[in-house]
Amino acid sequence: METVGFFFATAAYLAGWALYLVNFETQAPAFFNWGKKFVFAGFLAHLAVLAAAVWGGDLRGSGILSHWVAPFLILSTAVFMEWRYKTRIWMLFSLPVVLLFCVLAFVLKPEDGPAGLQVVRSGGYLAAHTGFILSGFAGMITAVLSAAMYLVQSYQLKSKRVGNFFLKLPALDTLDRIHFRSLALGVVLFSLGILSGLFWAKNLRELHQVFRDPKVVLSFLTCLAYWLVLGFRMSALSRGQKIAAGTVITFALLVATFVTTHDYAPPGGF
Amino acid sequence: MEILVLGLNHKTAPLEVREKLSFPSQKTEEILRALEEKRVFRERLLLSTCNRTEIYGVGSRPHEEVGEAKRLLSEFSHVNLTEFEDKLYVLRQPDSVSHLFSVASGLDSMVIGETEIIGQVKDAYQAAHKNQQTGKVLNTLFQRSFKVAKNLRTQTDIGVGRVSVASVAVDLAEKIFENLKNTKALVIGTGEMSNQVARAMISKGALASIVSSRHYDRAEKMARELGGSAVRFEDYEAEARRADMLITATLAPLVLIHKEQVRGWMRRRHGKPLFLIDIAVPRNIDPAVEKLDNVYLYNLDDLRGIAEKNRVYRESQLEECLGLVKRQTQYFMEWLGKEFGPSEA
Repeated sequence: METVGFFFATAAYLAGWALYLVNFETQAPAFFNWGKKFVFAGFLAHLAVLAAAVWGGDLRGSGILSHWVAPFLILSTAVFMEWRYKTRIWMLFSLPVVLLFCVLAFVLKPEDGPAGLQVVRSGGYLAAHTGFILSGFAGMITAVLSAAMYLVQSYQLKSKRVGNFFLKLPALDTLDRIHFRSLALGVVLFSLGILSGLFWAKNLRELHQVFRDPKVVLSFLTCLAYWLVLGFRMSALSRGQKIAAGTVITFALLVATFVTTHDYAPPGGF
Repeated sequence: MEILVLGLNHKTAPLEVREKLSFPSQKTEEILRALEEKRVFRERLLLSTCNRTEIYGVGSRPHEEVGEAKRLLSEFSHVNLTEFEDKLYVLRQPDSVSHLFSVASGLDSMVIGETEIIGQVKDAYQAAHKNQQTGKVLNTLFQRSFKVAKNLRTQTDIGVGRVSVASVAVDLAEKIFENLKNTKALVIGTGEMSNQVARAMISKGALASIVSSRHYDRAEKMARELGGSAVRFEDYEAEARRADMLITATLAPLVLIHKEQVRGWMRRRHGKPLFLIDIAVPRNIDPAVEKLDNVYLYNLDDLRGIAEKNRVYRESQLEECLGLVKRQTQYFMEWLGKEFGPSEA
């Protein structure tokens, strides 16, 4: 049932994204409206399956938490950003990332949780750890999306190709502000998540085991890289294109890390 | 009963004729009253802008009423009818209906898709309505035309992109700084083009400083007119370091601003974007400047190119817009048929 629900959600997101793309090319509002409907249908299906999983108490052990909550959070943040900044283009950038995480959720082994979480079975730190990590992750994804948009907008301004993207993307200052705020929030929350995970592991004297996990080490490195990017931005040493590129490159490393350090389910065995 | 339009516009009449037949709002009321006294049309409205003068009427004796309206136009403009009669057009429904929809939407304007016209149509309608010159037909027709104009703007890209150099510069600045309020613009040069760009920036809330290389008095005069401050050429470097936008438009036959100079400004700005507009010919800013990160340099050709591209893009939307106008005209004619009988529609 879960698989069917998630499959429906993924298909709806894909259809929605395709319609957003067609709308972007043709400017026909009907495609945008249908795209919105598809994404909303997928969102509802996604929410329903997650709610059922929480209600049934399966969320912690099954791996659903790690794999399906992330795309849900990214999409929720995108809906908020699109509403807050009155820009129709946010979804066009967010949905590919949502789809990427949906596909990963299908192909990764269900029992695989995020680094260090598999060993977690109980304790108050779990809720804090999970909450911080996922909120931080959503913040960082928002930062990455705004950074990508910044780079596109900046390229268009530099190259003097003021096409569709130029007209629909927000101003550089707006994107820079969103980027800075979401990155700051994301990095702090993500770091708190890592810290709470460490405290929990210490209680169980499993800290050394956690550090043997390459995913944990690479998560630390990613977090450190984002702290560096944030540090440069905060110290006003630099802003604009280079900082935006730093955020996007770090995200690419994070995805590469995530993809290469996981085990994959056999074909057809979600 | 029939909806008619009698008028002339920038397509049919030259400026010297249009300016004679352009009436201020006070005079339009007099003309409408004169039309009423002579029982020309049951309902009537006069739209007068710099590009068009049109009488919209609902009447049952088209030939006589149009003839009388022409004579009144001649009388009020003090121009012999023979001087402009051949420039006038008379449109009968449904062409008159689709014409109004096109006019209100800016499709019939000199600059396609401009929005000023909708305000002018609204003003003309309010003036006629206030003087009880409109009835059920024109009230419905004009209310519908406002909706059509709004729909066209939201459903197509007819209003997308600016088509003048100054407004393109403002659009670009708004894509960099989001809001020009309190951004600092430094204008070097006091020519017509720099005046236009500075005026457009100031109208959006930018704080402008004007520099003139040879005539400080000109800079002071321009600053007074536009609401900015004047800066001596010797002091421009200090101002430039604080500026978010720099507009150069001098006649100097040499490069005034070099790459290394801008690199230094950018270090002080910690990479905050800088918008440079070089509308001088020959150019005043070294083109190599645009290779610097977060520096956006546009010259006159770049701005003109974008304006032209926007104009062409707007024109490409015309077909879709006219399709929408045609459908809306059909809906209106159906309504007219239902309300007043098929023979009237």
